[in-house]
Amino acid sequence: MSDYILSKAKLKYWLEDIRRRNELWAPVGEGDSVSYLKNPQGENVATEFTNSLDCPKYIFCPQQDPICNYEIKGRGEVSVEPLEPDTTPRVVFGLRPPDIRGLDIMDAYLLNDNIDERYKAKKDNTTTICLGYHNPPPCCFAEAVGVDLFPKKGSDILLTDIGRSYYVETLSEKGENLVSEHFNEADDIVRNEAWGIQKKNKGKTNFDLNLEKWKEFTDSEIYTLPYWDEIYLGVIPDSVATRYFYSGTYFKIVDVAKGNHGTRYKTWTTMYSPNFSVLNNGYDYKPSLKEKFKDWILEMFHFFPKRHGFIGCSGAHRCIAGMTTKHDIRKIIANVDFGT
Amino acid sequence: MNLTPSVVKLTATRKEGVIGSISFKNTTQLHAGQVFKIGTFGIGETSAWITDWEDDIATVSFLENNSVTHKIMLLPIGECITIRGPFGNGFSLGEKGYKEILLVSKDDGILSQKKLINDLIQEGLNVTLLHFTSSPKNLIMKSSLEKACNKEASPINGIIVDMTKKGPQDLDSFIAKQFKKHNIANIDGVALSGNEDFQKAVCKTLEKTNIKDKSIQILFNRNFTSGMGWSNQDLYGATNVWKDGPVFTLSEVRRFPGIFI
Repeated sequence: MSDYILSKAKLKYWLEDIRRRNELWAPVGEGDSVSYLKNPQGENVATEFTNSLDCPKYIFCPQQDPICNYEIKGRGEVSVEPLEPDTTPRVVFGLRPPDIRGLDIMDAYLLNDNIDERYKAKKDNTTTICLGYHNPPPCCFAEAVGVDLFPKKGSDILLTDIGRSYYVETLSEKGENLVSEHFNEADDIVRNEAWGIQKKNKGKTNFDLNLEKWKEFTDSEIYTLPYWDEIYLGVIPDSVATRYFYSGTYFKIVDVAKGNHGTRYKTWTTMYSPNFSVLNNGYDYKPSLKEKFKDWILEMFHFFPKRHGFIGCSGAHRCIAGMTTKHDIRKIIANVDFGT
Repeated sequence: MNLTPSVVKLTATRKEGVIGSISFKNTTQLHAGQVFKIGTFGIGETSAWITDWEDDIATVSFLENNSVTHKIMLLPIGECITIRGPFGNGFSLGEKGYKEILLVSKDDGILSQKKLINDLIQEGLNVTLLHFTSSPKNLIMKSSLEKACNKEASPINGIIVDMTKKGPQDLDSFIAKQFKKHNIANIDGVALSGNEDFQKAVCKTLEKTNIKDKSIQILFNRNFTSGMGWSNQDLYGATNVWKDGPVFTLSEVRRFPGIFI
C-alpha cells in the first residue's frame, strides 16, 4: 500500500475528521490509567502510553451485548425482536501491537467454525490504526510470543513515532480510505528514519520462553507434569482478570426483565466464576484453581497454537503488571520443569 | 452461532423425582446424546438432554435444580419456552452394525441414554443396561429404569448397581467387580455416560476386554458456552467438546491429554 507522514500537531485534526464520519474509539488517560473510550475529543487522545489498562476486546465484543428484545403478551404469546448486529462504521485508533494479536486471537475463537455474527459485523465495519511499539514496557514479552512491534498485518494503518511526526503506512484498502489532507507524502529520508526506529526496537521485548522444548513432549506428557501441581499456588482467583486477557473468558446468557418485556444479553465473564465448570448435577470438572490455571496456561501456549498456528497470548504484560497475583507468566512458561 | 432463541409451545410436562421433562414440536432429526438449551424469558437458559423424539414431538429432560427449570416446570401446557439447538453429534451405535450393545451410565447420565435405548430396541439389537446409582432411594428416571430391569417384561437386560455398597474399596475395583459379576461377554458396542471419574474407572475395565476402542462411545458432559472455546471451559486439550462431540470413541479420547486414560 502507500506511506505518508503526519505531523503530531495535526493528529487531533485528523482524529476529529474521523470522528465526524465514524464512531471513534481512542485511548484516553495518562500513565498506567489509559482506556479506550468512544468518541473522545481529538486533543484528549493519549499516544504516549505503553498499554491500556483493560484489553480493548470490549470494543468488538461488549461485555453485555444485547441479542434480542422480548415481550410476553399473554399465555402462549411471546414476541421476539432479534437485534441486528452493529454495522456502525468504526475506527479504533492507537491499538498497540499486542492488541492487534489479541484481535487475531478473538478472530480464531469467534470467526472459525461457529461464527459469532455480532463480532463479525463489528470487525468487518471497523478500521484499526496500530501505534507501533516504540516504547514497550520492560516486562512486555510481545516478541517472545511472535508479535511484531511494528506489525505489517492485522491492522489497517500502522503509525511509527519518529519524533515530531508519525510515519504512516496504510496496510489495507480500509486504511487507504482514512488518508486525509493532513497527510504528506513520505520521502526516503522519513522512510529511512522510520525503518531505523523499527529496526532499533527489534528484540527489545524478546524473552526466551523455551517453547521449543515443549515440542519434544506429547500433549499427555505436558499435561501431567508435576510442575503444574505447584505452580498455581499463590494465584488469586481474580475476577478482574477477565478484563486483562483475550483468553479465559466465557459467555453466559442473561435476561434483564422489566415487567413483561426485557432484553436477552450475551455477557462474558471470568473463568474464575464459581459456576464456570459446574454441571447441572453439581459435578465440577475443573474443581480447583490448579485445573483452571493450568488449563488456561496450556490453552494459550500449547493447545491454541496447535489449533490455530500461533500463540494464544498477546504478550502485553497485563497479567504481570495488573493482576493481583504478581505471578510472572514469562517465568512460569520459561521455567517449566520437564523432569529431564 | 445464532444466539437468538426460537419460541416453542409446551405440549407436555412431566416430573418424576428430581427429573423434569418437557415436550415441544420439533421437526429436525434428533439423536440421543444431543442437548437443547431451553429457557424462559426473564430467567435465562439451561441444558436439557433429548430423551425422546416421536411424531415430530421432542422430549427433553433435565435435573430440576435451578431457577430456570423450576420456572419451566410451573408453566402450563401451551405456554411458551425458548429453545436453541440441538447441539452436539450424539451417539451413533445403531449405525455401526453392532449386534450386542452395552450401555453404562451413572445417575443422571441415564438421561442422555434414554432415547438411545428406545432407538436400539427399535433396530432389533440386543441391549444390556448397566446403570450405577449413588442414591438408590431416589433413583433417577425410576419408573423407566424399573421397567427396563423387569426381566420378564423388558426387551432389554437391565441391571441397576447400588453404588452405596461400594464401601471403602476404590471405584476402579468396584466397577471391575460389577462387570465381572454381570457377564458382558459378546458385547461389540458400548455407550458410556456419567461423570468423568466414573468414565475413567469404566474405561479401565473395558480396556481389559476384547471390545475395540473405536466401538466404545463416551459422552463428555461439559458446560456449553456460546463462544466456542473462547474460555477453555469446553475444551479438552486441542479438542472442543461441543464442536467435535460431545460423543467420542475411546480411541479418540486416548488422544486427549493424559488425564483421562
